[in-house]
Amino acid sequence: MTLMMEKIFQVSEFNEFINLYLDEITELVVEGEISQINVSQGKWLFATIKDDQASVEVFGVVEQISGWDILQTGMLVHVYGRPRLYQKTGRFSLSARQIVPAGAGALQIAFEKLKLKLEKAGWFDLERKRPLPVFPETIGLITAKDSRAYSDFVKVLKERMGGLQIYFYPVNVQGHEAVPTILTAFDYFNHQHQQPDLIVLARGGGSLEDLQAFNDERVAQAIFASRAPVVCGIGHEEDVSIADLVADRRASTPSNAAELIVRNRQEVLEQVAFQTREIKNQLEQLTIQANQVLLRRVGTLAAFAGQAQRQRQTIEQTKQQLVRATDTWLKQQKMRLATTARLLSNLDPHQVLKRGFSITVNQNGVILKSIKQVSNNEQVTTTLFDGKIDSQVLKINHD
Amino acid sequence: MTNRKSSLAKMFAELEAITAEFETGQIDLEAGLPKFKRGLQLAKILKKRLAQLENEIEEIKTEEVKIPKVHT
Repeated sequence: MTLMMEKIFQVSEFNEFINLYLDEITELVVEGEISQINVSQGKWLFATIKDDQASVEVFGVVEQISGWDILQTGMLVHVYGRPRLYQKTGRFSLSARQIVPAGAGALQIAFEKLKLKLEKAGWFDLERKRPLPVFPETIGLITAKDSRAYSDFVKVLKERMGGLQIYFYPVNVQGHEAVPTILTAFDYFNHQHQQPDLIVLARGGGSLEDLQAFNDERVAQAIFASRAPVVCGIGHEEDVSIADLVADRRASTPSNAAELIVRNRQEVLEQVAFQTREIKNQLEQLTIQANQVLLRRVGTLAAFAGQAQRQRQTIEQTKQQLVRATDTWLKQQKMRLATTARLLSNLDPHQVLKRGFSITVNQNGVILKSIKQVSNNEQVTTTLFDGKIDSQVLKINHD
Repeated sequence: MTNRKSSLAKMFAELEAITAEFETGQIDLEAGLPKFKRGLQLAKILKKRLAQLENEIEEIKTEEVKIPKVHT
């Protein structure tokens, strides 16, 4: 104290000196209502927050303060920061690292504003959302340790499907540490760990204040940028958070998240059974069809064989007919021959001689048919059936 | 993990494809028989896989996780 009293400070030294003292104060949170706010050159944020009795100025660097654009006059906020003196003017302010809405009214306004902003940016568009894998096998679970959300999710998941690998990243789901731990978890699953098939962000129900981390723009950004698809199961049925809206799939509760991401094993088993039946039936049909084709072919062959058989029979019949006809013809010919032979035998002169006729020839061997052919004393030879008589014509008598 | 994952999804997709192929009725018996056998084999493996009841839970030790700069 004695030293201080003796020392005469230059203004700049004084400001610097005070700041050395102020540096001893670690980050603190100050709650107040924004009574005035403006942004200079798009870079610096100047605001005043107040309560019933006092006010304090707040300074911040715009690019470091996420969600600064949702802040407005009249909004109750929590300013995370440290007290500083501005070197040049000695102006005292609370140098803010983060300014977040506080209290139901402010949170509601902040929620609506952020929702509108992200909606315009297309973050909620359905076309942007990625389909979930049909059979996820590795799941990154981000929720609070020993929470109802955790146990509900794990229980329902187990009821539906087994053999899954769950990587559980415990986080704070409310309070000052909620946003940073959730962001770290997303970073971990997307960059430091083997990427799971999908990420589930879960939390039980709560007031708007309790769910604040899930309405934070940074968390929305992490979900939006996640390489693995994200399913959010936050709060009760009626709670809708920004995280829900940005997520690739919104589940109404943590249990519902489990229902959405894995198919019920029974249902899959039934489908497998159906498919097995289906291919069995179809194969049976194929066998029947193949049999029919075979039968048709056999039929065609049989028909052909039958035709050949019939042709053979026809040939055989024709042959027999021919043989029969030839036989008959031959018999007929034989009979005719016999008749002719008989006739011929009847005409045989020898046979005629047997019946008492004879043939007489003159000396020249000419058969005598008329008396005019001979003269008296001429030698003639008469042939009888059993020999010849040579005689001399004695007398010729005319009839 | 990746292999196991792809195998389940792949096996299911393959079984679905075989079923669809049979349903078109365009397949012939000769080509159909090996596919039929494969289908039954897939169904068997899938059933075995689906019979697993437990899930494995691994808790990440957060103190070992690097805190990324962007979050501060």
